[in-house]
Amino acid sequence: MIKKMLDGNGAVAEAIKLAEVSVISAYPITPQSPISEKLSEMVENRELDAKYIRVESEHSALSCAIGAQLSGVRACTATASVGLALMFEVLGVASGCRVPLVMPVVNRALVSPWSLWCDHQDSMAARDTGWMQFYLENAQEVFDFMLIAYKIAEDSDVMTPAMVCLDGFFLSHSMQTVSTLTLEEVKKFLPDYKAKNMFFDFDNPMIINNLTPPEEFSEMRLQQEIGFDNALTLLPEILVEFNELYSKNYDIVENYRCDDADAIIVAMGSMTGTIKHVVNEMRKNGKKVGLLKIILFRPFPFKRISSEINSSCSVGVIDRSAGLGAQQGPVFLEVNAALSGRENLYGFIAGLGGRDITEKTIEGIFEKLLDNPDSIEKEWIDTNKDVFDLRKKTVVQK
Amino acid sequence: MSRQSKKLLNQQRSSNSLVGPAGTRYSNVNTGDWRIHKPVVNTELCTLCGQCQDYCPADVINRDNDTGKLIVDMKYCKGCGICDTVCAKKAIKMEKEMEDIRYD
Repeated sequence: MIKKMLDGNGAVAEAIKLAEVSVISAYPITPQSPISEKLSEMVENRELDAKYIRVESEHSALSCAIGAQLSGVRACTATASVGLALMFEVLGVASGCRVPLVMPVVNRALVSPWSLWCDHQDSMAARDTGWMQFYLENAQEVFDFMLIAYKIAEDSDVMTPAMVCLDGFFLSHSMQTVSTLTLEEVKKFLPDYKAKNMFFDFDNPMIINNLTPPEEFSEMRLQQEIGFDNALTLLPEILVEFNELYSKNYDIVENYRCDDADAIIVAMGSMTGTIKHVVNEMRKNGKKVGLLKIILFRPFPFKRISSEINSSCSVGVIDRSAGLGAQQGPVFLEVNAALSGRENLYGFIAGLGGRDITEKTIEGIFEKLLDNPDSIEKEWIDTNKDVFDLRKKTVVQK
Repeated sequence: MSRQSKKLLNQQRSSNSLVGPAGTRYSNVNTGDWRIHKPVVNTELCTLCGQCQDYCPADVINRDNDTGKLIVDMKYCKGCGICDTVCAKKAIKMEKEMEDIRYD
């Protein structure tokens, strides 16, 4: 175990190095660029024995990574925001052909408005592409869950690619102490990559990704659904193994002081660190509040959600993406389904486009929840009153 | 895991199949069956220039090893008529081979 000062991007690069990835085809995009840069440095100074392909776009980046992984090695690419959007077409190829790629996504808003900053819209827009999704709180979790993601994705009963999501700037660029591992320590948990199922097998050649008629399509989709079901069963077991090896305490959701809470916030990503702090402060003042942190978003741990939330408390879900046109944000809709249309469940939109989710915002949400209001519609909790007076029309002076 | 999934998981582990869109059985489709018009070559006009062979999009025109003549492989020729269009000597003519399909 080696302690290093790493930001979220650094933690990603460190994990990719320890996974002994052999092909890298990452296209730079803010706020992921330090990952592409760090990996190129590692290849150049021979810290990592890999081929670095300089692709011209994210569409090619993922296409290359899929091809490389099918040749029998771990391949990697990483992206954010519109980069993920550009590779959208190919996401389905990775998941449909059961290629167990692990791809870091540094969460940043999609355009337009053109933003560089933190928002979950990019990975939320890809939530139905057949990829697993993890949302992490801090650099330590990013490092650990990158390794966990490789193991669960490559399991022969799962064979499903995974996105490891970390908040742009708030996590990707936040320098923290991370307990990293040596290669020998990692190998106790993560075996060498062995290509399974479809791959370039010279002894038993096959056509990969051929046209599939209606008579077979549904069954193939169901095969993927079963892979997700298996992941939901196997991931807790893999976490037990990880926890024992490295003295950790990970779970697919984290129950932070929820058991006797009168009000609970359900949330994902870096904001959960701030929420924990607010929970502690409010508890000192006698307010019984708690946080249910979701780490695993796809497959969605719906049974755990309902088992961790007591029947009487108020529940608020914070969505860091707008979910435009929907009754509520995407995380709310999942939680609502898991809680079977519970009465005191409230949805809040916050932290879009890089807006900081402050202690004040969180405290305000808890106070609202403790008040147990009548059902409120999707609440944009941190917007200013002046919604329209942003960009003035120019006045032509004679 | 739901009961349906558990049953299917066991099915997956015991099956000998690949998961996802893998193709391991190879067969050629008789694309000649798709034809409505067929190319007819007038060997007296044909100068063996090879234009038809060069332009055939299905690559089904080949030179016979013994006679040197250009032969159309009718098992796979789809009757597109490009050979007719490019032949400089008008040695190839497309002829109706099948009745029009009528949906009454």
